[in-house]
Amino acid sequence: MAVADQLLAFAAAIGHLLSQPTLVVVLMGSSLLGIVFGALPGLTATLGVGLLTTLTYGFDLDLALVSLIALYVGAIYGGSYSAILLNIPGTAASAASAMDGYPMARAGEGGRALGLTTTASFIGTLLGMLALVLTAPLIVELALQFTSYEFFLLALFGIIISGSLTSPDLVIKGWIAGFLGLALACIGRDKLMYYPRYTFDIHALDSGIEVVPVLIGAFAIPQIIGTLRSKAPLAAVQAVGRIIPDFRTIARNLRHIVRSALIGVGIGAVPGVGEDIAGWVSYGAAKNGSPHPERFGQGEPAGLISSETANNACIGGALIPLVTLGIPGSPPAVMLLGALMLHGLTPGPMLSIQQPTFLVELAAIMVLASAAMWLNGIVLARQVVKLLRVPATLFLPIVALLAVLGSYALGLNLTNLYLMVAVGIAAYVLTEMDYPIAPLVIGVILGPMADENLRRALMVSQGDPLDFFTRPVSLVLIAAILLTVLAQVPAWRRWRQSLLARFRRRG
Amino acid sequence: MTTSPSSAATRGRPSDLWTGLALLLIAAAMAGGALQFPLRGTYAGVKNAWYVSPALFPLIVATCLCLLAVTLIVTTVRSGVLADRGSLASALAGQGDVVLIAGIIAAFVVGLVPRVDFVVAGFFFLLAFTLAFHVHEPRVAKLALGAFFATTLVLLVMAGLGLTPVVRTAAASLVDLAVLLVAVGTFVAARAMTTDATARHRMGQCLAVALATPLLLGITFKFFLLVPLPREGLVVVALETVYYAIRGAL
Repeated sequence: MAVADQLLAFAAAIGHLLSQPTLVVVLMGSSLLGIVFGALPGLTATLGVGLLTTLTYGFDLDLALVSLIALYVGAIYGGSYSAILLNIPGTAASAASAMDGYPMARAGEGGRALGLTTTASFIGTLLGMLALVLTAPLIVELALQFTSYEFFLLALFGIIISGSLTSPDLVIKGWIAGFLGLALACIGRDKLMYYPRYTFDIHALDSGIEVVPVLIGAFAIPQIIGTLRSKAPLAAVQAVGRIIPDFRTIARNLRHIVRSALIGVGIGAVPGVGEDIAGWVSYGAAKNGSPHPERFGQGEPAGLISSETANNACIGGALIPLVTLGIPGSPPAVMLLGALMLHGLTPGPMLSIQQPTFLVELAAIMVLASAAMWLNGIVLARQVVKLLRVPATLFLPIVALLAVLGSYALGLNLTNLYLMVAVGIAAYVLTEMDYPIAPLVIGVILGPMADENLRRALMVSQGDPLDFFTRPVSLVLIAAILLTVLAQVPAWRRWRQSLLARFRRRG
Repeated sequence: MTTSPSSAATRGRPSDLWTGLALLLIAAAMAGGALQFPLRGTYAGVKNAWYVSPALFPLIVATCLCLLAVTLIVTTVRSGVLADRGSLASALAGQGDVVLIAGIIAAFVVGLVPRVDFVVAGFFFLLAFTLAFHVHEPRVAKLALGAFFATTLVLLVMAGLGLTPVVRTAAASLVDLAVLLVAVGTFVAARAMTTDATARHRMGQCLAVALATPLLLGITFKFFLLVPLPREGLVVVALETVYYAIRGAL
């Protein structure tokens, strides 16, 4: 009965959304904008969601969510255009798609490759949405039992795990980035005593660091500097031909689709780890599981389908911890969290109580966003491809202007602008030194949650930290944090290996 | 410490030593600041205990940062990458463009945005930025950036002397007009510098982008999203006049 009710609510949400012409126009437009953002090398889904957030400030929640989700889905898919036609992934999420997409385009199958990615991305998004709808209520039920102890540890775990998994160099750099984010989150009046911390008598800092300018600065400025600095000339765009969905090939690769969707959802659900890793892991799994691994990299449709299904399924996965725990699963989801907070929604377990229909509405929006992406992909792909000829030296300065105006528009104060530039330059320097940026922004977002809940927990226990060890979920989280940290300590790993070797010998 | 699975071959870099030391300083400053916050006693009528103190979380973060910085320094020293001085030198080389791009954005935000009409400021910013990077002519780039940075500097000096005019006054419009004339003059001078057809075609693209983008963004934010622009002067006032004239006529 409950399932039937949910399905009815879902159908009603779809009907409600489609009955508003403005919403349909925004859906199609945002999806197309997302595809353009994803397709142009130098622009990313994260940046697109961030910049659009500033434009949706005055929208009502439905309209804002439709435009942001449609752009997110479109941008993750759009990255495959330049990967297939230029051999340059438009976004990191599509890096694996270039492996087989480009050889297909060179062999004159560009249209078929784009048709396959369009359909695979569509199915991937839908499967990700299904995973979100099925798992979110269970996680919310568990999370509703959480108290301040668990929320503090969850925030800490989010930062530690994203630092561990996103660092391109030493893992410790990921943790440093996360703690720098936490340090930034300390700026402003504290939530319990309203005491000004590190505000230096600047009143604009009293309410703390504005999240969206930090996010825009952290993602836009390094992207602009890095791309313009590289001065890489664009390769010739391969011919596209007719865009064919090619359902027969899709049907033949159904097992790759299901496996890739599961990988995408699983990786997406890990805080801070995004679509790029999902694409690569799924590509690797498809290659390893194939009877013809030698065909991969030579234009094998299964490789293309696997990476594209996984990176779009990752969207649903990334929304699972965001909606249920308030912890973003991927960098674009970080931006989405900022946008939701801007619209007065605080994602987390309480969301299902404050807005019982939110999950169903989100699922409906994801279905419509993936349908809009598919339609735009099949009908307008050839037009979008023309944009690949626009050089980065023309559109990146425009992005810089958008970042400036967007950062100002949110709080209408210049401090946000200065903050955006300072964070952006610092983020570029950190990126150059192989520090990941995702843990830093996750730290900024989760910092207030960690701070407030730590002190609330200690207030409950009258300052006794041992109470953290008396609750089962709290204990599991402490164990997870300790194991994640210890896994990076050489002495611990040596001891674990020797222990395993001893067991093997006995066995 | 070991590396992430994504790149097991990496082992840090010489600059990690300096970032480690910088982090130590940041952590020390953070802890020093936190020790000034109320740790015990009563604040604003609220009885305090150490576990409610606003200093608790910053102190924990500062301690963790300090430990991580020390670990980073030790890892870097032990890994032997410090002997690899060549990579440090090469890392420092080729940063000119980085400083330039960061400088353009910073100069725009600090110098132009608070003092010049947004559409005019955006026009000059995009014109200088695209002429410098899109045209691929070193002389044009030098001229565009020279004019842009010099204008920003003059505006900052004026601000330092307390000479920034109040918004929506004749004096403010004069400043906007002067900046607009400098931008247009820069474009005319840049175009006269070269006879190369490709370079001139690219300059046309730069002008189109610089003209259309701030105008479209300004109109969208001001009249459709109802968001005031950072500074509304010469062009925005003119746009307002046109907008309300059209609305009145309708």
